[in-house]
Amino acid sequence: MQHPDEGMIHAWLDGALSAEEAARLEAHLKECPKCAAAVAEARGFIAASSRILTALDDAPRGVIPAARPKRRFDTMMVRIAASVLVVAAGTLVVVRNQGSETRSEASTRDTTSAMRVAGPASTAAAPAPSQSAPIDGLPNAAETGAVALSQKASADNAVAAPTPDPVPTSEQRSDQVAARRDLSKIGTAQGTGVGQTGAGRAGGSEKAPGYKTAPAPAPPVAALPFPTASRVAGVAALDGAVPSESLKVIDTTRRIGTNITVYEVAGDTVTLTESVSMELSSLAVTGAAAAPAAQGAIQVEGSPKRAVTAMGAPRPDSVTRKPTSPPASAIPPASQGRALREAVEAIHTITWSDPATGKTFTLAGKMSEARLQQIRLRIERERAAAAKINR
Amino acid sequence: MTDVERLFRTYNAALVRYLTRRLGDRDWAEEVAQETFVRALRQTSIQNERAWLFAVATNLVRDEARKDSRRRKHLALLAEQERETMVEPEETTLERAQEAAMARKAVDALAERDRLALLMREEGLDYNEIAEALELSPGSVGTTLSRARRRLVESYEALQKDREAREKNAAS
Repeated sequence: MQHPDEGMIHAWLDGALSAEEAARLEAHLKECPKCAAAVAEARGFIAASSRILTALDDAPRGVIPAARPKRRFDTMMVRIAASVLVVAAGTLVVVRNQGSETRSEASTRDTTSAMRVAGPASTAAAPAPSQSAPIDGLPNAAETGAVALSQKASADNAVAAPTPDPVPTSEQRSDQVAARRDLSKIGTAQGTGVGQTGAGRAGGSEKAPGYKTAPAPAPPVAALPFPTASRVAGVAALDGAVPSESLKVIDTTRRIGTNITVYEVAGDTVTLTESVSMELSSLAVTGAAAAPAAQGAIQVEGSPKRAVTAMGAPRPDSVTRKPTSPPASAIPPASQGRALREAVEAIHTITWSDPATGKTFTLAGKMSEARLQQIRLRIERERAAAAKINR
Repeated sequence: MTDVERLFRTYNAALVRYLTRRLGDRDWAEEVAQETFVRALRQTSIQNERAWLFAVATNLVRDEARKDSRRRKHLALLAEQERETMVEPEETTLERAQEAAMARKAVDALAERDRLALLMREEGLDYNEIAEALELSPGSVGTTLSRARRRLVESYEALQKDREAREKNAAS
């Protein structure tokens, strides 16, 4: 046999030769030390190239920044949110009391759930919300949240607020959907995405003036020291959306006597804590008489005495928002403390108990209590449905 | 209708590794692999699944690279950065990164066909499958592979020698 070429040796080592060819080659190797050496060398090349190629497997991720689907929430965010909620629950009592003075003013024009968010703050502290928002066109990143709010307020004024508008029109819905898509895409820039929603919703059939410009500051928002602040504002603006958005369980934690479920609703997260503590359930009876849904007792955590009114007409509970209206140039750079307070204020908690099981439920989220009630109904409906299936 | 779920379970890992080695970016590799399986979904029947998948993935990369100059710029930037890290004096801390950078450089130095044949072989494709995926004659696969391996190892070793020489210079 002729000396096999290098290609044939590799083919043999790779097991790609026919039995006949292989036998011939093996016979030749026995008597040709030169070819045997070539085989040894080929083995070395095969092993070495495999090893070299393995070094490529640590390739970095995201070297090429392209538009990729991002997970809507990572677990870290959820954990952080949960821990913020714990702090917030305690803090609410204090903050609420401070905010109660502005409430009376606000209640007169409190017609839509959106107004409940924007109203109190802008009436109390804002000289001219309707001028500032559309014109100043999203000044700086830190103010995005505020802008979203003031846009909302002004748009509401323009559209003649007294008409309650609990069911968004199809156009509004699509705005929300778009904003939600933004939300899922941009991650840190949520504030803007939802701000857009606010504008779109408030505008109703006529476009809100700020609508077009709203997406503009998206990149700077990422640099916002407290992205939650702007996000909170946006979330508040979502209040009153019809309760048909999908409810998604994104995290569950089981501890002894407690189940914690994190739901995602229309881009917002709420945390449902379920416990069997007797102490808690007796406490929760306080607000029972006022519960409109007639499903167990409802208590507004952190301010029991307000629980009764909470269930009546829509009221400005979400409240003491920082003054949003003055043009951004007039506002001193948003202090961190203020941003933090804003974030804390917007987290609300409702508690109720299920008399049948004796379980206590606590639902917390960065949204108004009315919205939490909506979500609670949805959760209960879904649970009931699930229980039916399990039976 | 192809059973894409089975295809995915069977071949995704190998395909992603192949593409990662080819592209140097895991996310991009996963994206291309997904697109490949989406294409498989549209096929009524696939003769040789593995060869088909690797061929489609390879073509997707080629088409995309041709079309998308933005990505190519990023790749060029990445290659530039890797070259820069190679000149960095603090080599001990970057040992592993440097090995990867050298491997990348050595792989990039191969002719496209040699590189692809080698990467496919590393994922277990046999000579017939490689021939089919790359439209080679089965008889030439051994030659292609032997050339690819020899050149890869030789250029890697050359890079290693360069580095050692630089280290020596820096030390003295």
